[in-house]
This record gives sequence, C-alpha cells and structure tokens, in this order.
Amino acid sequence: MDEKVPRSNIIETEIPMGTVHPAALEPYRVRFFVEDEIVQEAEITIGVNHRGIERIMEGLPVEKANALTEKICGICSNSHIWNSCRTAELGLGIEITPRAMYIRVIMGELERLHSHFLYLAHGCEVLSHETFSMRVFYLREIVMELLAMIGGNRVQYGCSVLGGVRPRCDLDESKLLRLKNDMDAVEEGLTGFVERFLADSIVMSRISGIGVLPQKQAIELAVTGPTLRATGVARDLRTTMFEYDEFDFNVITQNDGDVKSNLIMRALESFESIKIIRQAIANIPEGKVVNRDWEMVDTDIIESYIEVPRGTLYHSYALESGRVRHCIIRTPSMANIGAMQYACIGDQITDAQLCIVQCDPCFTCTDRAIEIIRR
Amino acid sequence: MKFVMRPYHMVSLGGYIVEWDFPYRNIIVVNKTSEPIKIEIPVFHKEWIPEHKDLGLEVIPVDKNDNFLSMWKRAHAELDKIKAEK
Repeated sequence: MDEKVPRSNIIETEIPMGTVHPAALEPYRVRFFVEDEIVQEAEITIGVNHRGIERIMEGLPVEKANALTEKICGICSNSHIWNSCRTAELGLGIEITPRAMYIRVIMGELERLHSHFLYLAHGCEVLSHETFSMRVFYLREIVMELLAMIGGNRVQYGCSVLGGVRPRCDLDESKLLRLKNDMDAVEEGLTGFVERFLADSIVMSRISGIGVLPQKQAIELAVTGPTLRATGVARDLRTTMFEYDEFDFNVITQNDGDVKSNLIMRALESFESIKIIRQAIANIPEGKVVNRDWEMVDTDIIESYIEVPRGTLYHSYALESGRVRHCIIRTPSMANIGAMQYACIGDQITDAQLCIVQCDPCFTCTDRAIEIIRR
Repeated sequence: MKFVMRPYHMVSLGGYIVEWDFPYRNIIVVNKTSEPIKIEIPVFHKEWIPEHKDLGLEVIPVDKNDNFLSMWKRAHAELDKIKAEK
C-alpha cells in the first residue's frame, strides 16, 4: 500500500472553471490554486473563440474591412468601426465633417453608457442582487433603443464610414429631442440607483476591499480604461482625441482598485457621458455628415488609438491599392484580463467570479488572433 | 494569461503584443509538434521570444517593413509539409 501523504504537505488544491461554466458568460478557462479557500494563484487560458478577423481583413478593400471590424464585438461594435475608419482617415488625410464628428461622439458615449450599465448590472447579478441588476438593465434598455434609433440596430450600427457617418445616421430635430429627453430619464434613473446602491451597507461591505488591484501592478500589466482609473491613474485618451476637443468633461478616478472602486468608477463616468451627449445635442453643427472629397493613396503603417468603454483600443494597418495590409487590432480586454488573474489572488474562492467581473473582460473582443484552419 | 497553441498550428500574435517596449510589430508562432503548447500572453518584452523557442515553438518576428503575408504563407507551407509527412 502506498504511503499516505501527510496532510501538512498538501499545500494546494486546484479548482478548474470553464471553458463552459454557468458562472461565466463567455468561454474561458480559469485554474484557481487555493489553500484554505484562499486563492494563491490563478491562471486564465483563452483561445477557444477564434474567428480570424484580422486575417480575413488582409487584402480586403478598406471599406469592407472597416465594416468587418464591427463583427469583433457585440458590445463595442461602434468603437471598432470608428477606430478602423479613423485609421484610414489619418493615413489618407481625410477631413471629417464637424457634424459627423459630433454624431460619432454621441454614438461613442451612448456605447459607453450601455457598456457601463451592462457592467453594473452584471456586477450586481454576480453579487446576487437581482433587483439592482434589473434596475440597471431597465436603464440600459433606454440607451439601447437610442442606439437603435440612430444606427437602425441594437448592435452593429454601421454608423461610421470613411469621411464621416452614414447619411441614415444623421440626427434630425425629432431625434435630437428624443435624445435630450431620454438623457434626462437616464440621469434620473441612474441617480436613484447610485444613491440606493451606495446606501446599502450590506452590498458595500460585500464589495469593499475585494479583488484589489494595486496601482503599480495595474501599470506594469498595461491595464487601461476604467479598470486603470479605478486604481487612481487619471489616464483617459479622450483628453487627447481631437474629436473631444470641444467637450468639457472630467476624468473620473477612484483610489482603491477594488470591486467597489470599479463599480463606483463606472457609475460616475456614466454621468460624464450624459454631460458630453448633452453638450453634443446643444452644439451640433449644421452641414454634411460625410466628406466624399478624398483620394485613395498607398500609405505606410498607420496607427490609431482611441478610448472605448473598456480602455484603449488600437487599430493599425497599411493601405496598398485601397486594400488593407498587415492589420493589427488590440482590444483593451487583452491587457485587462492579466489584471483579472492578479485581482483574484488573496481573496476567497467564492469571490473569484466577482474579482474576474470587476476587470470588465470581453473575451469576444480579445479572443480573435489570426488562425487559418484548412479543411 | 495563457493561450493554447494546438498541435501543427500557427497563429499571429499581433493583437496580443503590448508595443511599449517590444521591437517587433508582429510575431508568427508555429507549433510543429504533436503536442499542444501553452504560451504566455500578452507579449511585453523581446525575452519572450527565446523563452518560447525553448518550449519547442518556432517564433518568427515580423518587422514593420517585412511583408507579413509572404512570411505567413512561407511558414504555413512549411507546416503543411510537416503535417503531410505525419
């Protein structure tokens, strides 16, 4: 008979989760190495969701490639087509009409609202507080309907085109009025939610000090967006984007890098988005929504960075005879997922899913490196 | 974070590179073995390349001025040849 291993020598247990698991919305695998129910190490594995979008884009006419980038993600589809068009516009020196720029900002901020509301609702769901979750989902529904009003769909709006936005996405007086009224409704609903959420001592004690990501670690891991700002770093690319030059808004930060900071961060940032949309409605310039006066030329590698709801989105490609060459797309979640591993360490295994959710991952966006399967 | 390279498979890691301190634009990674191999992403430093070569992977760095598509096709043809021999 084999000699039994003394109990004192058993220092870790592995708890695997995924790739398909009821607690996870997307396919990924996590291995938690635990000791006395405390996570000592975590390892996330992705790679089961490949669609090879960058490879398909290779050699496509740039207009078609732009449309394809929308398929990368269902949550931030507008951000992808915006940045892909922006990349070509920077390379070709295309001037975007002022009205189109405002519409792009409105779409971008509406997308930020619906992404942040999804985060808040999903966070509350993981906390098992369904009332809070449903309350935010109702608010998100208003935003989704506004996106459908402008883009024609609840996702995949196809708004940006080279030189501006599609004419069907132009905003007439009635649409602007609806936007204005709905922003009032969203603000009122969000204020009520935040007041109630912050006053709930049980929820606050449940999320304070959980899933802490220290600032130093966040910077080392190249974390971006609200997850970085929740650690106290005031880095928001909107402050350097020419599209936002005419808008007045604050860069929101929190200090603790825990679940509470991340949730509050997104809630407060949503008020800033409402502020930006109101400014855009009030000052939207008259004129054309698309500039078709440009010529296609070959370019070197072009790079474009924008701030999307979950952080910094990077698109880069060269143009050759109007076709895309050597395309690279880096999504914010790619860096933020590294933070998820770190945030789990030192917390109870029961809090692990909450620690993962707090980093706002989007595996759909991230999990799409080039892969060709020949059959 | 890990990424599983399946046997006889290749991927391009362009979207998984943090370009702050990395000299190449892209990396083509080829697994010519019959075993799946886990690689570490994101890629932060050029030390990543020898570390992953040691795992048995072929790592082809792609520079800004290189022709990515022809490098990809060349690596793919070599992989196809190995696969056909198995």
